[in-house]
Amino acid sequence: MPTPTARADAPIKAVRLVFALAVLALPAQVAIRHVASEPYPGLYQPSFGGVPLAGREAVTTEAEVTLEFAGGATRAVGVEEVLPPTRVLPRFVFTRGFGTQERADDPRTVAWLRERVAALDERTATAVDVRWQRVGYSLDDGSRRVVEETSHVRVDLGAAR
Amino acid sequence: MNGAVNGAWSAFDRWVARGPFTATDLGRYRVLFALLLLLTPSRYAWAGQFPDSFVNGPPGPFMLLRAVPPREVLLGLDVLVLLAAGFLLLGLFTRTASVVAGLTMLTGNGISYSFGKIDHSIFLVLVPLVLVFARWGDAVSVDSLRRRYRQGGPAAGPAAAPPQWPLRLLALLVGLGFLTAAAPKLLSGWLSPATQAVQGVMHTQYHVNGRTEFLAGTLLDVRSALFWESVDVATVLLEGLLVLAVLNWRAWRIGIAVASLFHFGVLLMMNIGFAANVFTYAAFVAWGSLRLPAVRVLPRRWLARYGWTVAVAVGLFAAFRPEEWVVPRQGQLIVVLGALVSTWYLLRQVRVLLRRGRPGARSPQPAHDEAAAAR
Repeated sequence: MPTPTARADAPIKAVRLVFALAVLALPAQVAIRHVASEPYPGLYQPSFGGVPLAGREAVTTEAEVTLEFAGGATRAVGVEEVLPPTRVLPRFVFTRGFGTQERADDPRTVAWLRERVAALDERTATAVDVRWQRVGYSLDDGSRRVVEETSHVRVDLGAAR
Repeated sequence: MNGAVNGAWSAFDRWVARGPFTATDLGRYRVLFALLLLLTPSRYAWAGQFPDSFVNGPPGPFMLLRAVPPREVLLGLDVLVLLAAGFLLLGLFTRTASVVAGLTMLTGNGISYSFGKIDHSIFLVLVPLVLVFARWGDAVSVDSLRRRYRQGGPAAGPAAAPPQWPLRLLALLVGLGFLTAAAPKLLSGWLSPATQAVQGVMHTQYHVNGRTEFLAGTLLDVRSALFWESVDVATVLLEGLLVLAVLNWRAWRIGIAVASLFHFGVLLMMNIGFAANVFTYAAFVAWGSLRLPAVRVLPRRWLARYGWTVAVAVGLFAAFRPEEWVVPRQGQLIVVLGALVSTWYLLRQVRVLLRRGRPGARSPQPAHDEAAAAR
């Protein structure tokens, strides 16, 4: 049984400083999150970002992804199909790459997407269409409803691979 | 005035130095922690499959990251964590291995979180970086064997009591972390009777993230606003008040036992197995109180001299094992085990309370809990 004693292995003042820094880090993190976004490293735990409810619906944002092929054919695919396996939630990674037209138009993203789509479907894809939608799920019966389309991103893959 | 300040500092110094944790408690926890790292599949290699344009680090040092590190670097981080875990398992070069494990996980996670989503597993990174100061390699370790042999033989007594302040610091960091989760909920209306936030979160997890197992489907049909509002309030109260339990070890253990049950509830409801937190709480368990059989797989002198080969072999095996060699549902399993241990602990506390009222009754608490209760 350890004997309670004021002596620790580290100098007492250093221990006091470490505890003070731990406490002071909290408002610092909150301030950083307020002016920019959540910092890392940081002590943050999941906040689930407010109350995701509108009336009797649970609301969220989803991406409707469609591959377009030469000749006019289309194929709807899920976000998880477009991305390779990740250790973080895929929809966040997808948002990072295709959340805005500017990000999606990055030549590195386009070249990468062209390869990914080629692995998904033998046909020659000419474009990938991403419709960002605010979606509501009824709390009463689970039915899904598109509340509104919030943005539309289109990635032109070009005809040739 | 100076006297009051000095008195306050003295009280603080005594508070951080008080604790029931023994070297064996920490040594056994270190072994469990190393096993967790070794059993967890590749952490960082996935990032190598994305283009540089996906990288945009969060505020902090990873803001400087502009490109996906080469695959060799990502693989190197994976291997480094597991090699460090091999050394932690044996308790060999424990200080170095703890720092390497903590900093490598911090770096690897920072890279992973630069793709748009911060998973909140920071406590697991903090464990080796904090507990290294508690000398968690002083017992159940090859380091302790080497020290004894250097001092002239294996007849040395039990390890000295470890410093307790790192445990208090880890508890404080966990408590403050919880507070960061409570504040946004409080400010965004979780306590408003007009909205039932957990119900909304559960519905989106079910429909969007496909978390449909365990009680998720059943709870979708629960429409009682009173039930869901109670869950909202309980969540905010737990997350907001846990930090106060840091003041007393017994209160802290009760607090993290309740938190473990909270994580179990989240697992049942939303299928999220928040194992990183539950495993961090395990640092506060009196592992030394368990009676375990003495197991001697390898000769002690051989271990003291050549233990590093075992540590390297274990780390490399974990790093390059077939991908399918994983513990199925590892995270969920840890949460369930945490809930079982917590239930047992809470029931014991209830028993203590009930017996306390009887005249002449002996306390059923072992010495470890007696010590915790007093602090």
